Amino acid sequence: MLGKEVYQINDLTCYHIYMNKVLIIEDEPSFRKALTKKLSSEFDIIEAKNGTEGLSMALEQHPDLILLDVGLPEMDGISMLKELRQDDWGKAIKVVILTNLTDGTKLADALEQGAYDYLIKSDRKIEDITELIRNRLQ
Amino acid sequence: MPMSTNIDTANSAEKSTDDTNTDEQKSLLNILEDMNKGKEQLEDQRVAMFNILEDVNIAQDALERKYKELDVIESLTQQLGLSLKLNTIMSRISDSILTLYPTVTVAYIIAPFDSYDFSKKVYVNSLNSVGNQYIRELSNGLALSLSTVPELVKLKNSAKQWIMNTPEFSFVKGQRDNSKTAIPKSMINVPLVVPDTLVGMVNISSVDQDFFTLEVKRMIYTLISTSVQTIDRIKKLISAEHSRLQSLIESMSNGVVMFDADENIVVANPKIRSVIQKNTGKLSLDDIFSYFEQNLTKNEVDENTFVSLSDAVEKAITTTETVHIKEFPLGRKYFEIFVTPVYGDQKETAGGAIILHDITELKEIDRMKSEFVSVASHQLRTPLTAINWYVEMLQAGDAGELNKEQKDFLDEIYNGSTRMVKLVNDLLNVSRIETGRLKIEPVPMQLETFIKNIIHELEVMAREHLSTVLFVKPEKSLPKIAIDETLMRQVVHNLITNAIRYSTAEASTITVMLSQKENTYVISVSDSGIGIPKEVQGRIFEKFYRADNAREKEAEGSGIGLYIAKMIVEESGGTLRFESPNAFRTIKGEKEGYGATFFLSLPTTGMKAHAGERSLSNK
Repeated sequence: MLGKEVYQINDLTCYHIYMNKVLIIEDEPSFRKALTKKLSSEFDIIEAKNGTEGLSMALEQHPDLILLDVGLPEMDGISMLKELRQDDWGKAIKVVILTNLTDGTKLADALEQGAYDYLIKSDRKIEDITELIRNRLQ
Repeated sequence: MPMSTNIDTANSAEKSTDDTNTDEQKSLLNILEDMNKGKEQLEDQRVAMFNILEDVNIAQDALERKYKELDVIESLTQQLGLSLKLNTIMSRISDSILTLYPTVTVAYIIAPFDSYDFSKKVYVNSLNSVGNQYIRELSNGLALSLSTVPELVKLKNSAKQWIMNTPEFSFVKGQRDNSKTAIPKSMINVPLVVPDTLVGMVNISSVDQDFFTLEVKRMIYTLISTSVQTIDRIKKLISAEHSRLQSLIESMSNGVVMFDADENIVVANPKIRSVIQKNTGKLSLDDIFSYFEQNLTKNEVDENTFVSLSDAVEKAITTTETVHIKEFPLGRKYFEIFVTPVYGDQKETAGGAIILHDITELKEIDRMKSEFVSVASHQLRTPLTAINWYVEMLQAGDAGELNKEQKDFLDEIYNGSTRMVKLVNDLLNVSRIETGRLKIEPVPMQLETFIKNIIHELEVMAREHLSTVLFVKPEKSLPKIAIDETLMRQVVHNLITNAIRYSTAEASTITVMLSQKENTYVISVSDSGIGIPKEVQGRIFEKFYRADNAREKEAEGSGIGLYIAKMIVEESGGTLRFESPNAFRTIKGEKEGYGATFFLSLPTTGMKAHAGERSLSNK
């Protein structure tokens, strides 16, 4: 999916067209593989295996959306989200929580940290997730 | 006739000579003298007799009095035998004294068996009303004897002082009448000493200076010593009971503290001492309060609902109701706390008890259990999700076009995997509901729209089963009602899908009706399906139970939907029941059933909120 940036140089209106960048932070290789495969035709995908790696990739590469797992090694998803929200750029970034934990307190924490969506993986079709990301990036 | 002969003889003698007369006169005089003596003796005897008779009379009076006294003692002993309370015993003794001596006034103070503290009250028992002056004098009398009786050295608080300064008078009989100016002119004080222990002090006073004769005193002592024996017996009984209780409390794994009306600790068992880490020395309620305040794990309590231990004690005493603190985080431990007021004889609060129940282990087990369930469900879901997603991608042709049979096989894999996901979710939900951790968050909502949405969602499924779902709305639209949408959706969804799945007719109609019945809103779901056979109607809400005819009709299903539905409805204050009057098993070839109707009733006030931790997994 394409993103569009419009800016003026003197009298000239410039259109910068680019592919939306999505960061997938997921420790389970088969999920990473499936999501990358499904999403890479529409989005520029970058991947991270844990919270720490995810945080530094996010802050360096400024993706348009982050798909974030909760149960992650090194730094869990909610802590990573808290860190991210401390950053000026990270404050506003769209985050979709994608997890198999159905813990009410985790959900509350995530929403408090401004997660846009909280999806239970096993309840969602991979196509639904793709559709949701499209909607969020429109 | 000898008599006449005698007289004759005398007459003849008088008529005879003077010589013979002198002798006769002498003997006659002698006889007269004798007779006089005899008369005197007789008189003495009469007096003596009279005296004896008088004595007998007096003795009889005394005897009667003795009988009366014996009666009093006997009835007192009987009454005392029936009573275990010192207070009652004392009022009986004073009553008995009044029966014998109606003019006196009896005043007494009592101390419980197990302490040397007097309860701060002077009980007054009198058949007459008494004035201020009288009362002051008798309390002076009590105080005076309290300071002279050697047993009283043991007294913890100075009874003398409070009698002089802050006495409270309670009238058992009689009343205070300040117009009366009489003062006691004589009084006696009798300490009630049950071997080694002073349990009370009785003061008997009279307006008559000479009232207390030796006999009266003797009688009063007899009465009281009889009572003391009874009290001794009772004391032994009570102390046996007390030591049994004491050892029970000592050995309890719960911390127990009992305190009196002045908040002095009466009993504190080793467990409570170990909780507040003070194994020796005097313990006060303040020690306990301050330990609880300093060691409260603040980040684990909700400031809005937090109740401190001292608040709980205060509340229990003022409201005379038990205060229950479900969970008090103290250091690394958790306690469930009960504070109970304890009543005295006059129904007044005489102190209270604090019971600490250590729930640290329970909490730990609970935490481990929920962690296990959560981890297990996570672990189960991960591979299932992976299967589903890859099947979906294969189906979507992401790995190249598939032929019909390949697609068909993938459908089977997908169905199986989806069912497994549903089962995992159901198990997780059951665990949440059963441990009471289900969160119910009702929000006002239009029931009509809510039901219509669910029916709309299920239209596709109904069409596949050749069924139609009909919605019958109430004539007048109902006001909004507070329901937890996710939970109620699960219930209604379950009822309607069951109706669709177990329908038998070629073109069956499922009727969903919303109506109001008195204080409830009723959602009924009727079908014309296989019905529920009589013999299994009692089991239909059981966990994992599926009726045979249901298994035959639909192989799929875990038998958990109705169980969860009923739990949700009942947890939130509603009811779920069904009627299936003419159901029978579907025998081969027989497609007709008479259906079932489920009635879901919710109070018009809405679902009861429940502050649990978890919401349900929604699929």
